[in-house]
Amino acid sequence: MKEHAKQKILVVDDDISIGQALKSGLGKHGFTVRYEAHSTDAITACLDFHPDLILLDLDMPIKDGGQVASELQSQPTLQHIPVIFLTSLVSQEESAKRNASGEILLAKPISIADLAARIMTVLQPAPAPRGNGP
Amino acid sequence: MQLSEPNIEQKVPDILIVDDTLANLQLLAGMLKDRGYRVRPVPSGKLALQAIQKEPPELILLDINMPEMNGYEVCALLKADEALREIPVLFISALDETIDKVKAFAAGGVDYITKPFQLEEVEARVKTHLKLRRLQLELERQNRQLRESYEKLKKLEDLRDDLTHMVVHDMRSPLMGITAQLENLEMDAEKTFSPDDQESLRNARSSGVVLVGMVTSLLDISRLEQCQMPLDVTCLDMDVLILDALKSLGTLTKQVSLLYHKKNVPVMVTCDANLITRVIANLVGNAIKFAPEGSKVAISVEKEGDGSKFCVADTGNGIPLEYHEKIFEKFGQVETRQHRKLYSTGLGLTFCKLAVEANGGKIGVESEVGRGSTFWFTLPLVKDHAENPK
Repeated sequence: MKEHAKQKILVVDDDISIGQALKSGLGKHGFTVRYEAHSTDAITACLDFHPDLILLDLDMPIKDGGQVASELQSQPTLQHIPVIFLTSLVSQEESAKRNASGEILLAKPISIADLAARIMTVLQPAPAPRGNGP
Repeated sequence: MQLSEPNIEQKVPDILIVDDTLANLQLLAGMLKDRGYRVRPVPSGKLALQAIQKEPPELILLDINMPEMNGYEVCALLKADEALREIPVLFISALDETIDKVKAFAAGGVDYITKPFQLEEVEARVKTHLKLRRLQLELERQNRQLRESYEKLKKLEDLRDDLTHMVVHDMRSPLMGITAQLENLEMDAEKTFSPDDQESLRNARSSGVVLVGMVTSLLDISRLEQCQMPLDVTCLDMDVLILDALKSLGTLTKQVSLLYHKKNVPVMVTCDANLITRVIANLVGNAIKFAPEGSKVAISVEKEGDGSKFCVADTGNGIPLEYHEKIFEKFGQVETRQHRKLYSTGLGLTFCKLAVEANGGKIGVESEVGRGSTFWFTLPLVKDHAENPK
């Protein structure tokens, strides 16, 4: 099993089958994973869990991934955490918009191995230990 | 779809006769009634117009010289009315100068019968014009039906595409649920499962990969058709794309004797590398699938004009000429004469066509039954990508 200094990933997706799959899958790739099914719990989870990276499903009801990301930006202790968006549908407009702002948007389905590799690319070099803010 | 009933209406024709001379009216009316027509005789233009407004006839026999309102005036009024202008008007008149006839035709009449007339002549002309008029109406009716059918079909096609898109879109998450978990199981397979179970797991994973491929194809096709596909265009050597494609096919390439001779000089293309790699993998994968075991599949790249041409040739059954375009269509099916079974070409080739065209190229096949097939596509050197892949 790969050693990633047990980096912490928060997964937010309303689809439980995806959430569970990512939790066990990324776990096997050496990450510590917390899964939240409700986007409304995302911010609280971040404040509690202090993830190194957040995987956000874009197509969630009530509050979608984009809105969660905006909320994260407004929190000084959370705004530096990298975000990867997952979506079932990539439109040219959405893709262009995200790429322009340097955000990462990945299309489902994606293999766990590919996802883990992508996460690793984003997290290297290993970020500073988590504390209560920069 | 049935377009129309086999024949024109069998309704009894209704003829209006207009003549201020009662004797003429009686003569004509009598003759036509005997022949089975329904006749309405009227002695003036004014009464004729009233009768026509009340119930439009199928044909009008119109005298020219009448007091108060002559035949030309009656005709002009009819032709000015959109609802009545198509009713055939046959003039009957004692005036037999050419100038009178020309004037009658110019007024909108379709025929001119001179008095004194032969009853047989009148009947023959009436019959002809009635037939003409009925044929015209039938034609218009069929056109209307065709137009409606077309609109309906178009709507159904759009619905089908929307539905497919929606269903397939909803499949993506649960599909990922399955494939991701299978992937998870495979990670510890050697420790956890017996060799048989490991084999089962591999098969399950393979099927998963195929399903994901189908779903992705369908959605990509949808996006390409709607010009919603983001293109990441770079300039690179075809060789790189080919090698990536072969790598993605994995052990599939071992089933046949795969020949690929890399060119000494790089063949550069400008395209979306990911899309074209998938096109190559698709075409080569097909060639391998349909080639007899152990046979040769040859891949080649040539410079063509300002761009390049990629070919993959197999020695399989070949494709009949009538299917050469059909196989690139969505959901197209081809019947193989030799095995007499219908195999679905699915969406792989449709995706290839759209992807190649979105990159400014063309795609096609050269094939003969019993002599194998060569699938090819071209790409321009400089990007000249169509705004609209269609």
